[in-house]
Amino acid sequence: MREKDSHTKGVSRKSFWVPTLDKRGGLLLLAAFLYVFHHSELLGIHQSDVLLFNWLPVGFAYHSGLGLVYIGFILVLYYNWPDAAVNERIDEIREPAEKKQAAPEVIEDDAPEDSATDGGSDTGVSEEVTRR
Amino acid sequence: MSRAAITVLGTVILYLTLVLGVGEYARRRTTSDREDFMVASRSFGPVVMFFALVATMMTAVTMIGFPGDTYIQGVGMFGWFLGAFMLLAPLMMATFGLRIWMAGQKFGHVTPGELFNHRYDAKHLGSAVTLLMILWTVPYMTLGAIGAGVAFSEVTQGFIPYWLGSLVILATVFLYVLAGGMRGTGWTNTLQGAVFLLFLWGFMIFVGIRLGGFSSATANVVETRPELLTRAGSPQFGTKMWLSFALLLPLNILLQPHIFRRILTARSNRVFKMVVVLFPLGIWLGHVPAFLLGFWGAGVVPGLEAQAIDNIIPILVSNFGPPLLAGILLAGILAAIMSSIDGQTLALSTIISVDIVDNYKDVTGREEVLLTRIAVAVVLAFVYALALIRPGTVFGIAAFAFSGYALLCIPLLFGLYWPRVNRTAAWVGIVWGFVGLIAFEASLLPAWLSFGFMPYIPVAVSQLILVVGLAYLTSTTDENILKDYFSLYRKIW
Repeated sequence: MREKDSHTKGVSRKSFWVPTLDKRGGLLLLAAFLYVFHHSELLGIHQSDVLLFNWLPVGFAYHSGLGLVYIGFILVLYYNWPDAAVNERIDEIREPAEKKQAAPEVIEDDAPEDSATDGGSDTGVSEEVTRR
Repeated sequence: MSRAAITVLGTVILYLTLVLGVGEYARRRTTSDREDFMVASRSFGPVVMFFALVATMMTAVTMIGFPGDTYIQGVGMFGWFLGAFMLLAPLMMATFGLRIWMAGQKFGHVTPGELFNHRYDAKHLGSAVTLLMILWTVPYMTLGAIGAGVAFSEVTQGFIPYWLGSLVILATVFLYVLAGGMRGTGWTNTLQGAVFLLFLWGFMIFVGIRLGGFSSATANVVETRPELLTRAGSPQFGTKMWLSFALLLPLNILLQPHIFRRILTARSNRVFKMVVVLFPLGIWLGHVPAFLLGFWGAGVVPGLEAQAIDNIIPILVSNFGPPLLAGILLAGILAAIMSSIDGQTLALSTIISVDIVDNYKDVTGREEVLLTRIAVAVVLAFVYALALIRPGTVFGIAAFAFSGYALLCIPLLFGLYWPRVNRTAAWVGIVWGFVGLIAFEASLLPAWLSFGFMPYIPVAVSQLILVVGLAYLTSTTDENILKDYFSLYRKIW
């Protein structure tokens, strides 16, 4: 019952934006850490008029380079994308329950909330597509 | 007409014909079915969706406004405009955007208004959201019409006047959006996105070489405008304004109706996550050369002020490009502009017909598509009228529109994560966001109340308090609706 309540009343602990001690929490922490570098005044770079290679202003080089680091972080997100969301188009994966039980991509660490008694299936996306 | 002008115009006409040809090809593949016209049957693969998103995101702001402000503000512009965006915007797409896409797949939404009416069990909330989105998007679209007029008149040195340049581009967009719907805009965006990225990089290298090499190009700036080498001392780049703008773009990206609707077109979740990774790379590729062109332009084109700063890239094209190249370069600028106006036009016309007309009157799917096409004409006519007035610099208009979008974020997107957010909280949050921003703009609230931040920040903080307070004080949305949404989301982040 507690799980059901948390399902429709509070923010799920599996939300990316909720700090936790697991891998997702680590990603959120890493994002916050990387954001700090955006404030280049903390490193004194905002005052520097140095030219790299005699033509590249250091302030521009810093922020464009940091942009590439950020893209690297998004690549980390890509490889940690939640398994349940990797399935192909939602309305194409409504499989019979017995077939889904054999599917290996159901992720283990989702078990507690997956068992919420809301009538849904274990993939979370198997209900009939509801067109408005 | 001079031989040079004929060459420039001939190249541009050829390019516009090519774009219309792609639009016509898309039309033949598009039916009058609602989902097919409005979201291309949610069929876009990674390449089309990537260009559709990136090209739509990079408006006249990228090609005209951003280099113009770099011309005035210098090195600080890149970090100020794009620094945090590269991190936070993909994060917003990977989290909130993923939930929007999943809801669209499951419930068949084609507009933001449909999603929020459904999620909050409301009848009129979606219409209110739509009206605000129109209010913020029309000035944003006007940037494109202004940019097209400026580009035509500068590159042809007045042969094609400002009013005619704007008109030609809006008419071209009108024809291919009318014909091909979302598929037409997606396919033409793929062509136009590739064209303008190639243009920007090619032209940046070309200008650098023509100025005697990159070192010489930068030396011109060091000699004439050394203050542009750092961001220290500029009030625009103080810590509070820096933080304000860092949050502004990421907060508003999903509330821009054309971006919201592009997200709905992803064929699968695999496509969606690929695009989330590629999207910041596309933005980076577009803005690095745009920055350098504005920066180097400051060293060789002195004395531009006020709205004239928006002319810097067209002036460089006109000064440095031989006629054939100038024609190609003008086509590149127009590609960036059209690829945004088309998405914005289709988005606005769709939300008008779905969230306003269809919400109050029963119409068939075919009638809905017809209404959307009529709305395309009305929206573009209004944008053209506004472009003729030319109410400010490209960047100034954009910053105003971005604040408006950002203040829709808390009341609407929080509801995708927090079940307690309900219709009352969403309504009050939206109304207060609008009233607060206008009150600052009209000086009804004193400037000191912004505490040195951009005005949208204090409004957003008070809005957050209101939404959270009302979410606890008023009853929650119907339990069945919450189950529909949050059982869908329970496996993701």
